[in-house]
Formats: sequence, structure tokens, C-alpha cells
Amino acid sequence: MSVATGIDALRVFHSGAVADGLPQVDAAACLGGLRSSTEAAALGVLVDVRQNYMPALVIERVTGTCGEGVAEVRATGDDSVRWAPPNFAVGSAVTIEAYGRAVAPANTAGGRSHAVRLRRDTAYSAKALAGTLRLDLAKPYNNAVGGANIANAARAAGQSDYRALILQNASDLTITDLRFRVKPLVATAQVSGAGQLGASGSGTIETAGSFAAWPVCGFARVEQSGGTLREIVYYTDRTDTVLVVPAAGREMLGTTAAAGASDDNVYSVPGIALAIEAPVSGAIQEIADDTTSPTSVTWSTSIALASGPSVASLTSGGTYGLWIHRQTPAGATASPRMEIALEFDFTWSGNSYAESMYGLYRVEDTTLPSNLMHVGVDADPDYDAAADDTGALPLVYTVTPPGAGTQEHRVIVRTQNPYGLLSLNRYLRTVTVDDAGDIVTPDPSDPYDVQAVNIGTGRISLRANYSTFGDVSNAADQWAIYIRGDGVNPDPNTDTPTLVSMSAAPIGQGPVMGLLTTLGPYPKRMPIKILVRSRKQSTGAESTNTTPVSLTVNSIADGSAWQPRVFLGRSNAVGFAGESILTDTVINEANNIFLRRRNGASELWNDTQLVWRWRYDSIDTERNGFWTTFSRVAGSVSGAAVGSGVIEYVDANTLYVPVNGVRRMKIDLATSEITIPARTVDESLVYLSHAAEAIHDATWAKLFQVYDQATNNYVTAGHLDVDGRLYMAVGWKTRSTEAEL
Amino acid sequence: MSVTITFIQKVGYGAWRYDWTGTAPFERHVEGDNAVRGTTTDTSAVLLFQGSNEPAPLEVIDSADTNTPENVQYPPRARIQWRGIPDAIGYRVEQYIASVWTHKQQYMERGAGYYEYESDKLADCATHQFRVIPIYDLNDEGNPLLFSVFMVRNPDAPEIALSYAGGDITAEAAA
Repeated sequence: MSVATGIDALRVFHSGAVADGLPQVDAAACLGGLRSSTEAAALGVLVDVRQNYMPALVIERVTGTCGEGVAEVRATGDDSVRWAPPNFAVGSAVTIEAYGRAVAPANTAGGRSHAVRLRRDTAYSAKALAGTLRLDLAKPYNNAVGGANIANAARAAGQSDYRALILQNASDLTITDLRFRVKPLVATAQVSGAGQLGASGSGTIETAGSFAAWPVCGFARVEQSGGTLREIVYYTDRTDTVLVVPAAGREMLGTTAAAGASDDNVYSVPGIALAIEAPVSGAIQEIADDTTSPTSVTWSTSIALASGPSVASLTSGGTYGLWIHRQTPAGATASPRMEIALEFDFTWSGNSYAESMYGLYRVEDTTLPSNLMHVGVDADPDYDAAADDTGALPLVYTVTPPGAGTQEHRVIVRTQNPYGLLSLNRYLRTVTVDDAGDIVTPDPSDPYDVQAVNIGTGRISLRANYSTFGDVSNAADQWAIYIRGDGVNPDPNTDTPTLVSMSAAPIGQGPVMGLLTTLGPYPKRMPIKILVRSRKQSTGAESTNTTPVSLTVNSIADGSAWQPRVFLGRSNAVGFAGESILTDTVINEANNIFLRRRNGASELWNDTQLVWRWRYDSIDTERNGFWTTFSRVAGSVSGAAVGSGVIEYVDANTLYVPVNGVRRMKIDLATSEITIPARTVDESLVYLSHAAEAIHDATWAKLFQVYDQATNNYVTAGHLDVDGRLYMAVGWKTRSTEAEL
Repeated sequence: MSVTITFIQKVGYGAWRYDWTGTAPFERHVEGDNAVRGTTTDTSAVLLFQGSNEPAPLEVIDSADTNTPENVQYPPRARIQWRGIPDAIGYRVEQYIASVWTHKQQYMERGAGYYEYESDKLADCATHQFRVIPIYDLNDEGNPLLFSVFMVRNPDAPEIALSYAGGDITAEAAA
């Protein structure tokens, strides 16, 4: 027998061996009798094989007191390591000789029970110890502590089952004060101040605290405020503040139903009781099967070590049996994860040690519906509410049509297994009906990944995607592109879109339609908002998205190169003069009203009367300005424009400059007045363009362009915005005579 | 989970796009895998999944959710570990499928100490058997190490088709 020390002095083995000390690996065969050599696992251990620099180390056992989480064995030298359990300070270095064993505890300040037992398999690897070995510790399923899963028949009828472990003092010294308890699953009790069970029957336990950390279903230990056990019950369901206890969940584990009190303490506990048995000739009684109770043992559900089963002393090599009685009430709730926890402590060589042991099991309910259908009306379904239909497919939901308008029904079906686990899908399918109960072909789905970016020369690249998957009868085949340049969100109810036929995305993209197009040119600084919708051409139905993408144009359209240079030899530079222009655009032929473009100026003429001259010269700037003999009048200008010209001719005395179809500047030829609502002289706010017209229509602004011969470009001297404000890059110059203009 | 998945759409052959809201950072899990190593602040993802009409059941956990993800609590794959043998040259992992022991993976004995095999996604509510056979020189085989795994996990989503007639929405198995 190996000599063990510390927490390792007391070892726990499977019972049920055919002969003392022989292996017995089947946890389900732990029915008493003789001690096997198979240790009962307290925790499962998964080695991180990706980074194992100590291949010689064998993890023989990790104490359950370490708890779940990531632990590390860290080399401190060629032959020494130290142990870092989860959430605990790392211990001191421990030497492991070649072919030897060692127990490495955590930090001695309370960590002596958080330990790992290692063996150095030098026959496998003679490498020196180095680096770190990482372990993942987890509570195991169906070990000797957890027990076998509860099948449906046992769940429905209720069952008590039993198994035995054998503890052995593996050390040279006597172990004293060995005590056992049922370990609560949640450390802190809740007070049943908000509601208590009656003297019998079903009911609820309610707290002003919280049951949120408790298992979804399980056992509750109700103690009187002084610590006396009142009753152990089983709850089938809970909320954060309420435990639901059925009649069959009363009087668990040998307790008697009793009415609760408002100052009772309620603990989350595993559904077990413990009993100890002294061996006779090295063996404890052997039961016929796991549902046969051992005889002549005293069961304890105590959660306090001081009042649980105890063994005063256990000599070196001595053994003792530990029986576990697990109860499942009739009609228990299906569960994929029920937990068992127990604890024992002892004194060895003057120090106290404590060990916890854990196990998990499942509860099967084959009557659970295999599918659950949830339906949300004009909203996503409430997954926590009762399902709208359950069972094998097909599932049916009867629609109640709306009183008016339409309703969208969002449907999801999830599969459930007999342990209560549901499929994790969240994809919703929709059915829309009108007030007559007729199905409504829904609008196409919204486009997604809509992006608009500046690409230079006043142009914008627009991208979008649309998936036809899910739009069976209502799949879109057009893009509807709504654009505004006045900083206002496009309104699909009033604005007119640009329609572009959809084309499939490149091969491999499946049902996705892709949009890639170039818009513009727009003047620099114009705030653009673009709403992209998917549209079904035959019905005109569009997606319902309303959120546009926004950007500000950051480049000037269609500029020209300038400062030309040509050399014929070193001394024969040939200069260029910029293009010289003189062109007229007729506004009204009968009255000879026209726009004239010339080098450095754009002019509006009323026959022989010069209305205005916009001057711009990037070299000789002294004469730059808006020159006119007309008076400036501040006032509102409104009304729908007639026609689509850059200047609207109304009659021999009246002209308007419209913006986006609305009159924004009035030119009164009779009174020589120009009326605008407001004016701002700030070059930094003027929309910029190189458009080759005297007046450039940018839809949401009218840009007054002047040809600058020095740069060979048309520049914006000012713009009239959609709200009527005239932004000017040059000053307003009113003079008395045309000769001064 | 406190995360709300706001958008799921098929965007290509076997490709699905998901958007969600919640409190970053997020963990993303699909079919037992941590779809992104560590956490992410992204609120959108495109996943490749070879299902036909049903997208991958993406599970997103945000920082406000302290529960263990179900993909971690009930993973759909088994991880089998064993201790190496000094004289072996390798190990062959087999799975019992349709009454036949079927070769799944082979490993060289490279002095690593511990070895691990991660299975394919296993059928829910079923027992799966594996064995690890040590291989020696001249292809001698040692005694198999047997594993039996009872898998309980989140079941697969049903593939359904919806229809509407006579005021009823019917969900039935997709053809």
C-alpha cells in the first residue's frame, strides 16, 4: 500500500470488488461489499494537450475541493512543481523524484485541501520537468457520486437508489474526527419570508431574496430559523423568487410535511442522504441492486459537518463505507443536469482537511413534446411563454385576423429532447394576413450592407446587398434608390426613386443580389442622404426600411488640368492662354432674355439690360463679386416652379430661380429688385463644382458658375440652396450704372 | 441569453449573416465551437453552415450574461483523452458506427504524454462507442481502450416549411 499524506491520507474507492483491492471501474456496480482499487473521481480532469511540456507527469487525482475551472501544474525546477488550482493561490514547490509520486497542495494558508496527486512516469519520459501543464476541471456525469441517469419510467414512478463508496486511511497515521455532510449546491440560504408551504400538498416557497443561482429544478431544505430541519422538498420549477413544489415533492428523504414559517431558511441541496457503515472483515453489506436499500444504517441529510455521520478514528489502513441514497420524486422534471455534492473532513497529523465530491446525472421524460411552436404577432415570439402548439410535426397555429390592416406572424419551431434541452435556432419565418384573414404577400426584405463612399470628382459609389432567400413570392427584382442633397432624410412616400434592375451577385453568392453603382457628380460639400430599398417591379412593393446612409461630398466634379507647359528646347517655352469662351443660353427668345458666359464672368441679360454679372478670376481677384444694379430685397420666395429650366420665365417682368422645383429667388425686371430670403457670404460654405454652365442645376441647389481662364475651370461663385439662402463665395456689389459692373 | 439576434439572412451558398444587440464584448458559439477565439465587440457575423434551409444555431453571450453557454455546457462532441504508452509507435481511434468499428483518426506516439481525439458532432440522446488501439512495431496491436459516451446536447433544429390555409399556419417537415 502506498503511503499517503495530508489530504491524500484518506482515499475514496469504488465498492463492489470481487476481491479486496481488485479494480472495479463500473460506477453503477458500487453496491457495497469489498473495496476496489478504483478511486472514485471527485472531479473530471481534462488535460490541455496542446501545450504539455511535462509528458512524464500523470495526473492521478485532483481533490474535489479545488472546484471547477482551469488549474495549472507549474514546474519550478527539473524535479519540482507547484500547484495552482482554480481561484486559489499557488502552492509551494513539491519535489517529484523519478518514478515517484507527490501531492502538491495549494497555498498552505487554507489551501492544503486543494491538491493534486501526481506520478512521474519516467519510463515514458525522462525529460526534466519544465513549463506548465494546464488542466480543465469539471464535475463528471454518472460517476459513483452522481449515479446513473434516471430513465423515464423511474422518473414517472419515483425512485430511490443506493450506492456505496469505501474510504480508506492510506497513510501511516490515524485519522480522527472524520465527518460527513450533504453539501448545499448554493452556499447562501434564502429566507422564505414572502411565502411558505402549507402543512401538506402542493404550494410555493417565496423569498424576497433570489433563487436565481439555484438549479431550475431540484431539492430545497427548509430549516427553522434556529437550524432545526423542517422538511426537504422537491421543486419542479422556479422563478427568481418562487419555488414551485408539487404534492409529490413533499416529504423528501424521510422528512415529514410541515407548514413553513416566514423566517425559515431555505437551502438548495442535492436530493441525497448519507449513511456510514463499519466494515466487517473488510467488507460492508452488499445490496442486490441499486434500488435495494442497505439495512441497519442511519441516514442523514445534515448539511452541517457537526451533525452529520462521523467516525471518531480510522487507523492506518482502516476502511469505512459511505452509502449514498438518492431520491427522485414521482413526476420529477426532466433535466439534463442534476448535481450531487457531498463533503467530508478529518484531522490528520494535527491538521484539518476537507474534501468535496461531485457528480452529475440526468432525468429523462419521454412525454415531453418533441417540437414547440412559438408565434409572435407583429413582434418576435416570447420564448419563455407557453408554446402555441407542441408535439410531432405538423404543428398548427390558428390566426385571429386583425380588426383592420395587416398582422405579421413570426413563427419558430424548436425541437426538444427528453432531457428538456431545446434546439438553439432563432430563425423566424413570417406569415402576414389582412383583416379578412387572407394572406398578404409581404414586402420584400430590406437590403443590407448599404454603403456609400466618395470616390472623387464629386461622385459617390453606392453598394448594397439583398437576399432573395425567404422572399419566395415577393422577391424583389429592382433597386429603388432615393437620394436627397438637402440634408433631409428621403421620404419614400413623397420622393421619386431611381429604379435599377437587380442583377445577381457573382457566382457563388447564392440568392444574393448586389448593387454597385456610381452616383453624381454632386457639388462638393453637398450633404447626401441615400435610402436604398428592394422593390418588386410587377407589384411596386418595396421593402420598408427607412434609414438612409449619409455622407458629404468631398470632391469637386469634372475639373480640368491647368497651368499647361510646352517647351521647344530650353529657351523656347511656348505659353498657353486658357480657353477663351463667349457663349449664350437663351431663357426667353421673344424678350431676348439670356445667360452669357465669358472669361471671368457669367451674366444674366434682359435684352440690353444687364441684370447681374458674377465675376471670378483666381489671379486678379480685386474685381471678383456679384455685380448688379438691382436692389437686394430680403423676403420669402415660394411656389412651385413651372418648367425645368435653370431660370423660370414668367413674363416680361418676372423671372425666378427655382431649386428642386420650388421658386427660391425672384428677379423683378420692372422694379430692378432681386428677392431672396437670406444670404451668407462665406466661401467655405459654398457648394463647389466645375460644371460648364452659367447656372448649374444640382437638384437641391443652383450653382452659379464662372469660367476662370487662369485655371481653365468653371468655379462656383455662389449657390442658391434648397431653403432659399444664397451662399456666396464673392461679395455682393450693388452699383448705380452698368458701366461700373 | 440577454442578447437579441435581430437579423438572420442567407447570404450565399451555405453562408448566413447574423446581427445582434447586447452589451459587448460577446462570446459566439456554434455547434460546440467557440466561433471566435476569446471575445469580440462585433455585432454581426457571417457563418458558413452546410444546412439547407435552416441556419446554424448561433449562440451569442454578452457580458451581462453570467450563465454558461449551452454550447459549452452541452457540447455536441466528445473529447477522448488517453495516456501514451512508452513502446507504442502510435494509436488508432475507432468509432462503432452501424455495427462496424470505423477508423476515425490515427496519432503518432511522439512523447506527448496525453493524447486527445475530438469526435464529430454526435447524435443526440444516443450512446456512442470509441476505442483507442495502441500500435506497435510490425503493426502489432495492443489491447483497445474502450470509451462509451452517452450524448445529450441541444437537438438539431427541425427543417420546416410553413403554409397558410383556412386561417391556420401549419409548420411541417420540409420536403
